[in-house]
Amino acid sequence: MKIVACFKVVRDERDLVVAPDRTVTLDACGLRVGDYDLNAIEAGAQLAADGGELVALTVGGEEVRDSKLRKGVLSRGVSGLTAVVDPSLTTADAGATAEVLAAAVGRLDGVDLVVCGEGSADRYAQQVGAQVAARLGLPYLNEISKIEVSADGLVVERTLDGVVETLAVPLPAVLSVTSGLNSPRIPTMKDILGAGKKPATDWSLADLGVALPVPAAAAGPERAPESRQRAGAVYEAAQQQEFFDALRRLIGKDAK
Amino acid sequence: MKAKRAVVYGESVGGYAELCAGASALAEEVIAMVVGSADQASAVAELGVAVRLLEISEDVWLDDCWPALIEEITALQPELVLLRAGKRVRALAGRLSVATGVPVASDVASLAEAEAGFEFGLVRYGGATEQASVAPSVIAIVGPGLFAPAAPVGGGSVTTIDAAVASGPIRLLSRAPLAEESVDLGVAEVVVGVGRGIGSVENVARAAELARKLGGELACSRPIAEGLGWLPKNRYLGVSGAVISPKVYLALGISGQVQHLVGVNGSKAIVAINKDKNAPIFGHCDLGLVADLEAMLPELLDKLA
Ligand SMILES: Cc1cc2nc3c(=O)[nH]c(=O)nc-3n(C[C@H](O)[C@H](O)[C@H](O)COP(=O)(O)OP(=O)(O)OC[C@H]3O[C@@H](n4cnc5c(N)ncnc54)[C@H](O)[C@@H]3O)c2cc1C
Repeated sequence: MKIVACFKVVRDERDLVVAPDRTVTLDACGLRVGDYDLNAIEAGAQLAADGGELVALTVGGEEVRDSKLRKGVLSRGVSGLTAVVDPSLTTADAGATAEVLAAAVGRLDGVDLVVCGEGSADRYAQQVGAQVAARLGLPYLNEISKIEVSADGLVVERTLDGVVETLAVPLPAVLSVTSGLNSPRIPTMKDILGAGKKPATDWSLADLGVALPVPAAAAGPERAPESRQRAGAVYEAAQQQEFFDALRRLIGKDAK
Repeated sequence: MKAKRAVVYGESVGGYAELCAGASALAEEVIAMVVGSADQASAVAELGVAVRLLEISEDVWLDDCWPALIEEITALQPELVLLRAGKRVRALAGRLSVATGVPVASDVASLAEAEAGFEFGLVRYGGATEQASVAPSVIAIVGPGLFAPAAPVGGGSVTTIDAAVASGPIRLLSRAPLAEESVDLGVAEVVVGVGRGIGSVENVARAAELARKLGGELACSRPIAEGLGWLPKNRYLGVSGAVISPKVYLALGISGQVQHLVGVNGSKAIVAINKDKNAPIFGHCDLGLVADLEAMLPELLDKLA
Protein backbone atom coordinates (compact mmCIF):
# COMPACT_ATOMS: atom_id res chain seq x y z
CA MET A 1 0.00 0.00 0.00
CA LYS A 2 1.31 3.46 -0.87
CA ILE A 3 0.28 5.92 1.81
CA VAL A 4 0.63 9.68 2.14
CA ALA A 5 0.37 11.32 5.58
CA CYS A 6 -0.13 15.08 5.49
CA PHE A 7 1.36 17.32 8.16
CA LYS A 8 1.62 21.05 8.78
CA VAL A 9 4.55 22.96 10.23
CA VAL A 10 3.23 25.59 12.64
CA ARG A 11 4.58 28.17 15.04
CA ASP A 12 4.63 27.35 18.72
CA GLU A 13 2.14 29.83 20.12
CA ARG A 14 3.51 29.43 23.63
CA ASP A 15 6.37 31.77 22.61
CA LEU A 16 3.96 34.38 21.24
CA VAL A 17 4.93 38.03 21.78
CA VAL A 18 1.97 40.37 22.25
CA ALA A 19 2.39 44.14 21.81
CA PRO A 20 0.36 46.64 23.88
CA ASP A 21 -1.99 47.18 20.92
CA ARG A 22 -2.56 43.39 20.95
CA THR A 23 -0.82 42.76 17.62
CA VAL A 24 1.30 39.63 17.77
CA THR A 25 4.72 38.61 16.50
CA LEU A 26 5.04 34.98 15.56
CA ASP A 27 8.53 35.15 14.03
CA ALA A 28 10.23 34.48 17.33
CA CYS A 29 8.11 31.40 17.98
CA GLY A 30 9.70 27.99 17.55
CA LEU A 31 8.45 25.57 14.90
CA ARG A 32 6.65 22.32 15.49
CA VAL A 33 4.60 19.73 13.64
CA GLY A 34 0.90 20.12 14.42
CA ASP A 35 -0.01 17.95 17.41
CA TYR A 36 -2.76 16.05 15.62
CA ASP A 37 -0.76 15.55 12.43
CA LEU A 38 1.42 13.20 14.46
CA ASN A 39 -1.62 10.90 14.73
CA ALA A 40 -1.92 10.90 10.92
CA ILE A 41 1.76 10.03 10.51
CA GLU A 42 1.46 7.29 13.15
CA ALA A 43 -1.63 5.83 11.46
CA GLY A 44 0.23 5.76 8.15
CA ALA A 45 3.33 4.25 9.76
CA GLN A 46 1.31 1.43 11.34
CA LEU A 47 -0.44 0.62 8.05
CA ALA A 48 2.86 0.75 6.13
CA ALA A 49 4.70 -1.37 8.70
CA ASP A 50 4.26 -4.60 6.77
CA GLY A 51 5.66 -3.85 3.36
CA GLY A 52 3.95 -0.56 2.57
CA GLU A 53 5.40 2.82 1.70
CA LEU A 54 4.65 6.00 3.66
CA VAL A 55 5.41 9.48 2.33
CA ALA A 56 5.06 12.38 4.77
CA LEU A 57 3.78 15.35 2.78
CA THR A 58 3.69 19.00 3.75
CA VAL A 59 3.12 22.32 2.03
CA GLY A 60 4.34 25.63 3.41
CA GLY A 61 6.89 28.44 3.27
CA GLU A 62 10.60 28.32 4.09
CA GLU A 63 9.75 26.98 7.56
CA VAL A 64 9.10 23.51 6.10
CA ARG A 65 12.81 23.24 5.19
CA ASP A 66 13.81 23.25 8.87
CA SER A 67 16.20 20.30 9.11
CA LYS A 68 15.58 19.42 12.74
CA LEU A 69 11.89 19.29 12.16
CA ARG A 70 12.33 17.15 9.06
CA LYS A 71 14.49 14.73 10.95
CA GLY A 72 11.78 14.46 13.58
CA VAL A 73 9.20 13.52 10.96
CA LEU A 74 11.56 11.13 9.18
CA SER A 75 12.14 9.27 12.46
CA ARG A 76 8.45 8.35 12.76
CA GLY A 77 8.24 5.28 10.56
CA VAL A 78 8.03 7.08 7.23
CA SER A 79 9.85 6.10 4.03
CA GLY A 80 10.48 9.66 2.87
CA LEU A 81 9.34 13.26 3.04
CA THR A 82 8.04 15.54 0.31
CA ALA A 83 7.51 19.27 0.74
CA VAL A 84 5.93 21.82 -1.57
CA VAL A 85 7.63 25.10 -0.73
CA ASP A 86 6.51 28.60 -1.62
CA PRO A 87 6.62 31.74 0.57
CA SER A 88 2.91 32.35 -0.07
CA LEU A 89 2.00 29.02 1.48
CA THR A 90 2.93 30.07 5.04
CA THR A 91 -0.42 31.82 5.35
CA ALA A 92 -2.41 29.58 3.01
CA ASP A 93 -5.98 28.86 4.09
CA ALA A 94 -7.55 25.40 4.00
CA GLY A 95 -8.74 25.79 0.41
CA ALA A 96 -5.32 26.75 -0.97
CA THR A 97 -3.56 24.13 1.15
CA ALA A 98 -5.90 21.43 -0.14
CA GLU A 99 -5.38 22.56 -3.73
CA VAL A 100 -1.60 22.21 -3.46
CA LEU A 101 -1.75 18.97 -1.46
CA ALA A 102 -4.09 17.42 -4.02
CA ALA A 103 -1.72 18.35 -6.84
CA ALA A 104 1.19 16.86 -4.90
CA VAL A 105 -0.67 13.61 -4.21
CA GLY A 106 -1.45 13.39 -7.92
CA ARG A 107 2.22 13.89 -8.73
CA LEU A 108 3.33 11.24 -6.20
CA ASP A 109 1.35 8.80 -8.34
CA GLY A 110 -0.23 5.50 -7.40
CA VAL A 111 -1.24 6.65 -3.92
CA ASP A 112 -3.72 4.27 -2.25
CA LEU A 113 -4.45 6.22 0.89
CA VAL A 114 -4.08 9.80 2.10
CA VAL A 115 -4.23 10.31 5.87
CA CYS A 116 -4.78 13.72 7.43
CA GLY A 117 -4.90 14.76 11.08
CA GLU A 118 -8.06 15.97 12.71
CA GLY A 119 -7.13 19.63 12.31
CA SER A 120 -4.06 21.84 12.12
CA ALA A 121 -2.65 23.29 15.33
CA ASP A 122 -2.99 26.87 14.14
CA ARG A 123 -6.19 27.16 12.09
CA TYR A 124 -7.94 23.97 13.18
CA ALA A 125 -10.51 24.44 10.43
CA GLN A 126 -10.80 20.65 9.98
CA GLN A 127 -11.24 21.16 6.27
CA VAL A 128 -8.10 20.07 4.46
CA GLY A 129 -8.82 16.32 4.33
CA ALA A 130 -12.33 16.83 2.96
CA GLN A 131 -11.14 19.30 0.35
CA VAL A 132 -8.19 17.19 -0.79
CA ALA A 133 -10.60 14.29 -1.31
CA ALA A 134 -13.12 16.42 -3.17
CA ARG A 135 -10.42 17.79 -5.46
CA LEU A 136 -9.11 14.31 -6.22
CA GLY A 137 -12.63 12.87 -6.54
CA LEU A 138 -11.85 10.25 -3.88
CA PRO A 139 -14.04 8.77 -1.14
CA TYR A 140 -13.58 10.62 2.15
CA LEU A 141 -14.35 10.12 5.82
CA ASN A 142 -13.47 12.23 8.84
CA GLU A 143 -13.34 11.37 12.55
CA ILE A 144 -11.77 7.95 12.01
CA SER A 145 -11.14 6.25 15.35
CA LYS A 146 -10.09 2.78 14.13
CA ILE A 147 -8.60 1.40 10.88
CA GLU A 148 -8.35 -2.21 9.75
CA VAL A 149 -7.15 -3.55 6.42
CA SER A 150 -9.67 -5.80 4.66
CA ALA A 151 -9.62 -7.88 1.48
CA ASP A 152 -10.92 -5.04 -0.68
CA GLY A 153 -9.86 -1.90 1.11
CA LEU A 154 -10.30 -0.72 4.68
CA VAL A 155 -12.88 -1.19 7.39
CA VAL A 156 -12.97 1.86 9.64
CA GLU A 157 -14.77 3.13 12.68
CA ARG A 158 -16.00 6.71 12.62
CA THR A 159 -16.92 8.36 15.92
CA LEU A 160 -19.44 11.16 15.38
CA ASP A 161 -21.69 13.13 17.71
CA GLY A 162 -23.69 10.42 19.44
CA VAL A 163 -23.06 7.59 16.97
CA VAL A 164 -20.25 5.25 15.94
CA GLU A 165 -20.34 4.06 12.33
CA THR A 166 -18.50 1.07 10.90
CA LEU A 167 -17.79 1.55 7.21
CA ALA A 168 -16.13 -0.26 4.32
CA VAL A 169 -13.91 2.10 2.33
CA PRO A 170 -12.53 1.13 -1.08
CA LEU A 171 -9.08 2.44 -2.02
CA PRO A 172 -7.85 4.91 -3.07
CA ALA A 173 -9.38 7.11 -0.38
CA VAL A 174 -8.70 10.01 1.99
CA LEU A 175 -9.21 9.75 5.76
CA SER A 176 -8.96 12.29 8.57
CA VAL A 177 -8.16 10.56 11.85
CA THR A 178 -8.98 11.50 15.44
CA SER A 179 -6.34 12.17 18.06
CA GLY A 180 -7.69 9.16 19.97
CA LEU A 181 -6.86 6.73 17.14
CA ASN A 182 -3.32 6.06 18.33
CA SER A 183 -0.50 7.36 20.49
CA PRO A 184 2.24 8.80 18.27
CA ARG A 185 5.52 6.94 18.82
CA ILE A 186 8.45 8.44 20.64
CA PRO A 187 11.32 7.96 18.16
CA THR A 188 14.21 5.85 19.46
CA MET A 189 17.88 6.72 19.00
CA LYS A 190 17.95 4.21 16.13
CA ASP A 191 14.94 5.90 14.46
CA ILE A 192 16.62 9.28 14.73
CA LEU A 193 19.93 8.03 13.32
CA GLY A 194 18.09 6.28 10.48
CA ALA A 195 16.17 9.46 9.64
CA GLY A 196 19.28 11.11 8.20
CA LYS A 197 19.44 8.49 5.44
CA LYS A 198 15.84 8.90 4.30
CA PRO A 199 15.04 10.93 1.19
CA ALA A 200 13.50 14.41 1.39
CA THR A 201 12.24 16.05 -1.80
CA ASP A 202 11.27 19.68 -2.32
CA TRP A 203 8.91 20.79 -5.03
CA SER A 204 7.95 24.30 -6.08
CA LEU A 205 4.46 25.27 -7.18
CA ALA A 206 5.85 25.45 -10.72
CA ASP A 207 7.04 21.83 -10.45
CA LEU A 208 3.43 20.88 -9.80
CA GLY A 209 2.03 23.18 -12.44
CA VAL A 210 -0.10 24.90 -9.79
CA ALA A 211 -0.66 28.66 -9.98
CA LEU A 212 -0.18 30.73 -6.84
CA PRO A 213 -3.40 30.13 -4.94
CA VAL A 214 -5.50 33.26 -4.66
CA PRO A 215 -6.78 33.68 -1.09
CA ALA A 216 -10.55 33.24 -1.05
CA ALA A 217 -10.89 35.72 1.79
CA ALA A 218 -8.96 38.90 2.61
CA ALA A 219 -7.48 38.41 6.07
CA GLY A 220 -6.68 41.22 8.50
CA PRO A 221 -3.85 41.21 11.05
CA GLU A 222 -3.63 38.53 13.72
CA ARG A 223 -4.23 39.89 17.21
CA ALA A 224 -4.27 38.52 20.70
CA PRO A 225 -7.77 38.49 22.17
CA GLU A 226 -8.59 40.90 24.97
CA SER A 227 -7.63 39.10 28.12
CA ARG A 228 -9.18 39.53 31.48
CA GLN A 229 -6.95 40.42 34.39
CA ARG A 230 -7.46 38.12 37.33
CA ALA A 231 -6.47 38.59 40.95
CA GLY A 232 -3.66 36.05 40.76
CA ALA A 233 -3.27 35.36 44.49
CA VAL A 234 -1.01 32.31 44.39
CA TYR A 235 0.00 30.68 47.68
CA GLU A 236 2.84 28.29 48.44
CA ALA A 237 1.99 25.00 50.16
CA ALA A 238 3.11 26.44 53.52
CA GLN A 239 0.30 29.00 53.30
CA GLN A 240 -2.39 26.50 52.46
CA GLN A 241 -4.57 27.72 55.31
CA GLU A 242 -4.95 31.11 53.61
CA PHE A 243 -5.67 29.34 50.33
CA PHE A 244 -8.40 27.18 51.86
CA ASP A 245 -10.00 30.15 53.61
CA ALA A 246 -10.14 32.11 50.36
CA LEU A 247 -11.47 29.11 48.44
CA ARG A 248 -14.20 28.48 51.01
CA ARG A 249 -15.28 32.08 50.66
CA LEU A 250 -15.44 31.73 46.89
CA ILE A 251 -17.61 28.64 46.94
CA GLY A 252 -19.71 29.97 49.77
CA LYS A 253 -18.70 27.44 52.43
CA ASP A 254 -18.05 28.70 55.91
CA ALA A 255 -14.74 27.96 57.54
CA LYS A 256 -14.67 24.67 59.35
CA MET B 1 -25.48 45.70 1.81
CA LYS B 2 -27.67 42.84 2.88
CA ALA B 3 -27.05 39.63 0.96
CA LYS B 4 -29.79 38.27 -1.25
CA ARG B 5 -29.90 34.68 -0.23
CA ALA B 6 -28.75 32.47 2.63
CA VAL B 7 -29.02 28.72 2.92
CA VAL B 8 -28.92 27.02 6.32
CA TYR B 9 -28.42 23.37 7.20
CA GLY B 10 -28.15 21.48 10.47
CA GLU B 11 -28.05 17.77 11.14
CA SER B 12 -30.79 17.93 13.76
CA VAL B 13 -33.87 20.14 14.08
CA GLY B 14 -32.57 21.75 17.28
CA GLY B 15 -29.91 23.83 15.57
CA TYR B 16 -32.12 25.63 13.07
CA ALA B 17 -33.61 28.29 15.35
CA GLU B 18 -30.22 29.95 15.85
CA LEU B 19 -29.13 29.50 12.23
CA CYS B 20 -32.35 30.98 10.86
CA ALA B 21 -32.12 33.98 13.17
CA GLY B 22 -28.55 34.65 12.06
CA ALA B 23 -29.38 34.13 8.39
CA SER B 24 -32.42 36.44 8.40
CA ALA B 25 -30.32 39.21 9.90
CA LEU B 26 -27.77 38.83 7.11
CA ALA B 27 -29.84 37.97 4.02
CA GLU B 28 -33.15 38.92 2.45
CA GLU B 29 -34.21 35.36 1.71
CA VAL B 30 -33.53 32.33 3.93
CA ILE B 31 -33.84 28.78 2.68
CA ALA B 32 -33.47 25.90 5.12
CA MET B 33 -32.30 22.53 3.81
CA VAL B 34 -33.59 19.57 5.78
CA VAL B 35 -32.43 16.02 5.16
CA GLY B 36 -34.75 13.65 6.96
CA SER B 37 -38.49 13.29 7.50
CA ALA B 38 -41.53 15.44 6.67
CA ASP B 39 -42.05 15.93 10.41
CA GLN B 40 -38.60 17.40 10.81
CA ALA B 41 -39.21 19.67 7.83
CA SER B 42 -42.47 21.04 9.28
CA ALA B 43 -40.79 21.61 12.62
CA VAL B 44 -38.19 23.77 10.90
CA ALA B 45 -40.86 25.53 8.78
CA GLU B 46 -42.43 26.68 12.06
CA LEU B 47 -39.55 29.16 12.22
CA GLY B 48 -41.14 30.97 9.29
CA VAL B 49 -38.65 29.94 6.64
CA ALA B 50 -38.88 28.20 3.29
CA VAL B 51 -37.78 24.59 3.79
CA ARG B 52 -36.48 22.31 1.06
CA LEU B 53 -36.75 18.74 2.18
CA LEU B 54 -34.65 15.86 0.95
CA GLU B 55 -36.83 13.10 2.31
CA ILE B 56 -35.02 9.94 3.34
CA SER B 57 -35.83 6.92 5.47
CA GLU B 58 -33.91 6.31 8.65
CA ASP B 59 -31.77 3.53 7.20
CA VAL B 60 -30.18 5.83 4.63
CA TRP B 61 -26.61 6.86 5.46
CA LEU B 62 -26.60 10.65 5.69
CA ASP B 63 -23.31 11.06 3.82
CA ASP B 64 -24.91 9.43 0.77
CA CYS B 65 -27.18 12.48 0.60
CA TRP B 66 -24.37 15.00 0.16
CA PRO B 67 -24.25 14.94 -3.68
CA ALA B 68 -27.98 15.73 -3.93
CA LEU B 69 -27.79 18.35 -1.19
CA ILE B 70 -24.73 20.02 -2.72
CA GLU B 71 -26.38 20.12 -6.14
CA GLU B 72 -29.44 21.81 -4.65
CA ILE B 73 -27.41 24.38 -2.70
CA THR B 74 -25.13 25.12 -5.66
CA ALA B 75 -28.10 25.78 -7.94
CA LEU B 76 -29.47 28.35 -5.46
CA GLN B 77 -26.20 30.33 -5.60
CA PRO B 78 -26.49 31.66 -2.07
CA GLU B 79 -23.98 34.27 -0.92
CA LEU B 80 -24.11 32.80 2.56
CA VAL B 81 -24.33 29.22 3.78
CA LEU B 82 -24.66 28.61 7.51
CA LEU B 83 -23.97 25.10 8.74
CA ARG B 84 -24.59 24.06 12.33
CA ALA B 85 -21.30 22.81 13.78
CA GLY B 86 -21.09 19.04 13.97
CA LYS B 87 -18.55 16.41 13.05
CA ARG B 88 -20.40 15.10 10.00
CA VAL B 89 -21.15 18.61 8.76
CA ARG B 90 -17.43 19.43 8.50
CA ALA B 91 -17.03 16.80 5.78
CA LEU B 92 -20.03 18.24 3.93
CA ALA B 93 -18.60 21.77 4.19
CA GLY B 94 -15.32 20.78 2.52
CA ARG B 95 -17.07 19.09 -0.34
CA LEU B 96 -19.45 22.01 -0.82
CA SER B 97 -16.51 24.43 -0.79
CA VAL B 98 -14.72 22.61 -3.60
CA ALA B 99 -17.96 22.34 -5.60
CA THR B 100 -18.74 26.06 -5.30
CA GLY B 101 -15.33 27.69 -4.87
CA VAL B 102 -16.63 29.45 -1.77
CA PRO B 103 -14.32 29.36 1.29
CA VAL B 104 -15.26 27.68 4.56
CA ALA B 105 -15.03 29.66 7.79
CA SER B 106 -14.91 27.09 10.58
CA ASP B 107 -16.37 27.92 13.99
CA VAL B 108 -16.73 31.62 13.38
CA ALA B 109 -16.37 33.80 16.47
CA SER B 110 -18.34 36.55 14.75
CA LEU B 111 -20.15 37.03 11.47
CA ALA B 112 -21.49 40.30 10.07
CA GLU B 113 -22.27 41.92 6.77
CA ALA B 114 -19.48 43.95 5.23
CA GLU B 115 -19.32 46.34 2.33
CA ALA B 116 -18.12 43.57 0.05
CA GLY B 117 -19.82 40.50 1.45
CA PHE B 118 -19.21 39.24 4.96
CA GLU B 119 -16.72 39.82 7.71
CA PHE B 120 -16.02 36.88 9.98
CA GLY B 121 -13.73 36.38 12.95
CA LEU B 122 -11.70 33.22 13.38
CA VAL B 123 -9.50 32.12 16.23
CA ARG B 124 -6.02 30.75 15.64
CA TYR B 125 -3.89 28.49 17.80
CA GLY B 126 -6.92 27.50 19.82
CA GLY B 127 -7.55 31.05 20.95
CA ALA B 128 -4.06 32.55 21.30
CA THR B 129 -4.80 34.90 18.41
CA GLU B 130 -7.79 36.02 16.39
CA GLN B 131 -8.14 37.31 12.87
CA ALA B 132 -10.92 38.98 10.92
CA SER B 133 -11.43 38.16 7.24
CA VAL B 134 -13.68 39.49 4.51
CA ALA B 135 -15.09 37.46 1.61
CA PRO B 136 -17.88 38.13 -0.90
CA SER B 137 -19.39 34.76 -0.12
CA VAL B 138 -18.80 32.27 2.67
CA ILE B 139 -19.75 28.87 4.04
CA ALA B 140 -19.73 29.44 7.79
CA ILE B 141 -19.72 26.63 10.35
CA VAL B 142 -21.56 28.03 13.33
CA GLY B 143 -21.45 26.69 16.87
CA PRO B 144 -24.19 27.13 19.45
CA GLY B 145 -24.61 30.56 21.01
CA LEU B 146 -23.39 32.81 18.17
CA PHE B 147 -26.97 33.83 17.34
CA ALA B 148 -29.94 34.07 19.67
CA PRO B 149 -32.55 31.53 18.55
CA ALA B 150 -35.49 32.72 16.41
CA ALA B 151 -38.93 32.22 17.92
CA PRO B 152 -41.31 29.93 16.02
CA VAL B 153 -43.61 32.33 14.17
CA GLY B 154 -45.19 29.88 11.73
CA GLY B 155 -45.91 30.69 8.12
CA GLY B 156 -43.02 28.80 6.60
CA SER B 157 -43.32 26.40 3.71
CA VAL B 158 -42.01 22.98 2.77
CA THR B 159 -41.13 21.90 -0.75
CA THR B 160 -39.64 18.54 -1.56
CA ILE B 161 -36.33 18.16 -3.36
CA ASP B 162 -36.79 15.80 -6.27
CA ALA B 163 -33.51 13.93 -6.27
CA ALA B 164 -32.48 10.32 -6.02
CA VAL B 165 -30.12 9.33 -3.24
CA ALA B 166 -27.75 6.60 -4.41
CA SER B 167 -25.09 4.82 -2.38
CA GLY B 168 -21.55 5.92 -3.07
CA PRO B 169 -18.31 3.93 -2.96
CA ILE B 170 -18.28 3.83 0.86
CA ARG B 171 -20.63 1.29 2.46
CA LEU B 172 -22.14 1.65 5.91
CA LEU B 173 -21.76 -1.74 7.60
CA SER B 174 -23.30 -0.90 10.96
CA ARG B 175 -23.89 1.90 13.41
CA ALA B 176 -24.25 2.02 17.15
CA PRO B 177 -25.32 4.84 19.41
CA LEU B 178 -22.36 6.27 21.28
CA ALA B 179 -22.94 5.25 24.87
CA GLU B 180 -22.10 8.47 26.69
CA GLU B 181 -24.10 9.71 29.64
CA SER B 182 -25.35 13.17 28.82
CA VAL B 183 -23.99 15.97 30.96
CA ASP B 184 -24.67 19.68 31.01
CA LEU B 185 -21.54 21.29 32.38
CA GLY B 186 -23.00 24.69 31.55
CA VAL B 187 -25.47 24.78 34.45
CA ALA B 188 -23.09 23.84 37.29
CA GLU B 189 -22.06 26.65 39.65
CA VAL B 190 -18.87 24.89 40.63
CA VAL B 191 -16.82 22.87 38.13
CA VAL B 192 -13.80 20.81 39.14
CA GLY B 193 -11.48 20.27 36.17
CA VAL B 194 -8.75 17.64 36.21
CA GLY B 195 -5.67 17.63 34.00
CA ARG B 196 -2.78 15.26 33.46
CA GLY B 197 -1.37 16.31 36.81
CA ILE B 198 -4.21 14.46 38.58
CA GLY B 199 -1.96 11.44 38.14
CA SER B 200 -4.28 8.42 38.40
CA VAL B 201 -7.78 7.08 37.89
CA GLU B 202 -8.08 6.82 41.68
CA ASN B 203 -7.42 10.53 41.98
CA VAL B 204 -9.99 11.26 39.27
CA ALA B 205 -12.50 9.41 41.44
CA ARG B 206 -11.46 11.58 44.40
CA ALA B 207 -11.93 14.71 42.31
CA ALA B 208 -15.39 13.40 41.31
CA GLU B 209 -16.24 12.99 44.97
CA LEU B 210 -15.07 16.54 45.64
CA ALA B 211 -17.21 17.87 42.79
CA ARG B 212 -20.22 15.96 44.11
CA LYS B 213 -19.73 17.26 47.63
CA LEU B 214 -19.53 20.81 46.32
CA GLY B 215 -22.73 20.27 44.37
CA GLY B 216 -20.84 20.74 41.13
CA GLU B 217 -19.68 18.81 38.09
CA LEU B 218 -16.45 17.10 37.15
CA ALA B 219 -14.72 18.16 33.92
CA CYS B 220 -11.22 17.74 32.48
CA SER B 221 -8.60 18.77 29.95
CA ARG B 222 -8.60 17.16 26.53
CA PRO B 223 -5.75 14.68 27.14
CA ILE B 224 -7.68 13.18 30.07
CA ALA B 225 -10.62 12.40 27.79
CA GLU B 226 -8.89 11.77 24.51
CA GLY B 227 -5.47 10.28 25.18
CA LEU B 228 -5.90 8.70 28.60
CA GLY B 229 -9.62 8.03 28.31
CA TRP B 230 -10.17 8.52 32.05
CA LEU B 231 -13.32 10.56 31.49
CA PRO B 232 -15.83 10.70 28.61
CA LYS B 233 -15.21 13.18 25.79
CA ASN B 234 -18.23 15.30 26.62
CA ARG B 235 -16.50 16.33 29.85
CA TYR B 236 -13.47 18.06 28.40
CA LEU B 237 -13.30 21.82 28.29
CA GLY B 238 -11.71 24.08 25.73
CA VAL B 239 -11.66 25.27 22.17
CA SER B 240 -12.64 21.87 20.81
CA GLY B 241 -14.66 20.86 23.88
CA ALA B 242 -17.26 22.42 26.17
CA VAL B 243 -17.27 26.10 27.13
CA ILE B 244 -18.44 26.99 30.63
CA SER B 245 -18.88 30.03 32.83
CA PRO B 246 -19.45 28.79 36.38
CA LYS B 247 -19.09 30.75 39.59
CA VAL B 248 -15.94 28.83 40.44
CA TYR B 249 -13.70 26.73 38.21
CA LEU B 250 -11.23 24.64 40.20
CA ALA B 251 -8.38 23.44 37.96
CA LEU B 252 -6.48 20.49 39.41
CA GLY B 253 -3.22 19.57 37.67
CA ILE B 254 -3.99 21.56 34.54
CA SER B 255 -1.10 23.45 32.94
CA GLY B 256 -3.31 26.18 31.48
CA GLN B 257 -2.64 26.10 27.74
CA VAL B 258 -4.71 28.58 25.78
CA GLN B 259 -6.68 25.79 24.07
CA HIS B 260 -8.02 24.78 27.48
CA LEU B 261 -8.41 28.27 28.93
CA VAL B 262 -10.76 29.52 26.22
CA GLY B 263 -13.26 26.99 27.56
CA VAL B 264 -13.17 28.42 31.10
CA ASN B 265 -12.30 32.09 30.64
CA GLY B 266 -15.91 33.05 31.32
CA SER B 267 -15.71 31.67 34.87
CA LYS B 268 -16.33 34.18 37.60
CA ALA B 269 -13.33 32.84 39.51
CA ILE B 270 -10.59 30.48 38.41
CA VAL B 271 -8.79 28.59 41.15
CA ALA B 272 -5.75 26.44 40.37
CA ILE B 273 -3.69 23.83 42.14
CA ASN B 274 -0.49 22.80 40.37
CA LYS B 275 2.86 21.60 41.66
CA ASP B 276 4.79 23.77 39.20
CA LYS B 277 4.84 27.38 40.33
CA ASN B 278 5.68 28.42 36.74
CA ALA B 279 2.63 26.70 35.23
CA PRO B 280 0.83 29.11 32.86
CA ILE B 281 -2.44 28.59 34.74
CA PHE B 282 -1.10 30.71 37.61
CA GLY B 283 -1.00 33.68 35.27
CA HIS B 284 -4.71 33.29 34.57
CA CYS B 285 -6.22 32.50 37.95
CA ASP B 286 -7.79 34.42 40.79
CA LEU B 287 -6.54 32.07 43.44
CA GLY B 288 -3.80 29.48 43.29
CA LEU B 289 -1.92 26.96 45.38
CA VAL B 290 1.47 25.51 44.50
CA ALA B 291 1.15 21.97 45.78
CA ASP B 292 1.37 18.30 44.88
CA LEU B 293 -2.13 16.94 44.39
CA GLU B 294 -1.13 13.50 45.60
CA ALA B 295 -0.93 14.98 49.09
CA MET B 296 -3.43 17.80 48.64
CA LEU B 297 -6.48 15.89 47.35
CA PRO B 298 -7.35 14.27 50.71
CA GLU B 299 -6.90 17.69 52.35
CA LEU B 300 -9.23 19.27 49.81
CA LEU B 301 -11.90 16.66 50.46
CA ASP B 302 -11.52 17.11 54.18
CA LYS B 303 -11.46 20.91 54.24
CA LEU B 304 -14.11 21.65 51.63
CA ALA B 305 -16.68 18.93 51.92
C1 LIG C 1 -5.89 22.23 17.81
C2 LIG C 1 -5.82 21.91 19.28
C3 LIG C 1 -6.98 21.93 20.03
C4 LIG C 1 -6.94 21.65 21.40
N1 LIG C 1 -8.10 21.70 22.11
C5 LIG C 1 -8.06 21.50 23.45
C6 LIG C 1 -9.24 21.62 24.26
O1 LIG C 1 -10.33 21.91 23.76
N2 LIG C 1 -9.15 21.42 25.59
C7 LIG C 1 -7.95 21.11 26.21
O2 LIG C 1 -7.93 20.93 27.45
N3 LIG C 1 -6.83 20.99 25.49
C8 LIG C 1 -6.85 21.17 24.12
N4 LIG C 1 -5.70 21.03 23.40
C9 LIG C 1 -4.48 20.55 24.08
C10 LIG C 1 -3.76 21.65 24.84
O3 LIG C 1 -2.88 22.30 23.95
C11 LIG C 1 -2.92 21.07 26.00
O4 LIG C 1 -2.05 20.10 25.48
C12 LIG C 1 -3.77 20.44 27.09
O5 LIG C 1 -4.80 21.31 27.50
C13 LIG C 1 -2.90 20.10 28.27
O6 LIG C 1 -3.64 19.35 29.21
P1 LIG C 1 -3.19 19.24 30.73
O7 LIG C 1 -3.11 20.60 31.31
O8 LIG C 1 -4.09 18.26 31.38
O9 LIG C 1 -1.76 18.53 30.65
P2 LIG C 1 -0.30 19.11 30.77
O10 LIG C 1 -0.09 20.27 29.90
O11 LIG C 1 0.59 17.95 30.66
O12 LIG C 1 -0.24 19.69 32.26
C14 LIG C 1 -0.25 18.92 33.41
C15 LIG C 1 -0.01 19.85 34.58
O13 LIG C 1 -0.12 19.12 35.79
C16 LIG C 1 0.89 19.54 36.68
N5 LIG C 1 1.15 18.41 37.58
C17 LIG C 1 1.77 17.25 37.30
N6 LIG C 1 1.80 16.45 38.38
C18 LIG C 1 1.18 17.12 39.38
C19 LIG C 1 0.89 16.83 40.74
N7 LIG C 1 1.23 15.67 41.31
N8 LIG C 1 0.25 17.76 41.49
C20 LIG C 1 -0.10 18.95 40.93
N9 LIG C 1 0.14 19.27 39.65
C21 LIG C 1 0.78 18.37 38.88
C22 LIG C 1 2.05 19.92 35.83
O14 LIG C 1 2.87 20.86 36.49
C23 LIG C 1 1.37 20.49 34.59
O15 LIG C 1 1.23 21.90 34.69
C24 LIG C 1 -5.71 21.32 22.02
C25 LIG C 1 -4.55 21.30 21.27
C26 LIG C 1 -4.59 21.59 19.91
C27 LIG C 1 -3.31 21.57 19.12
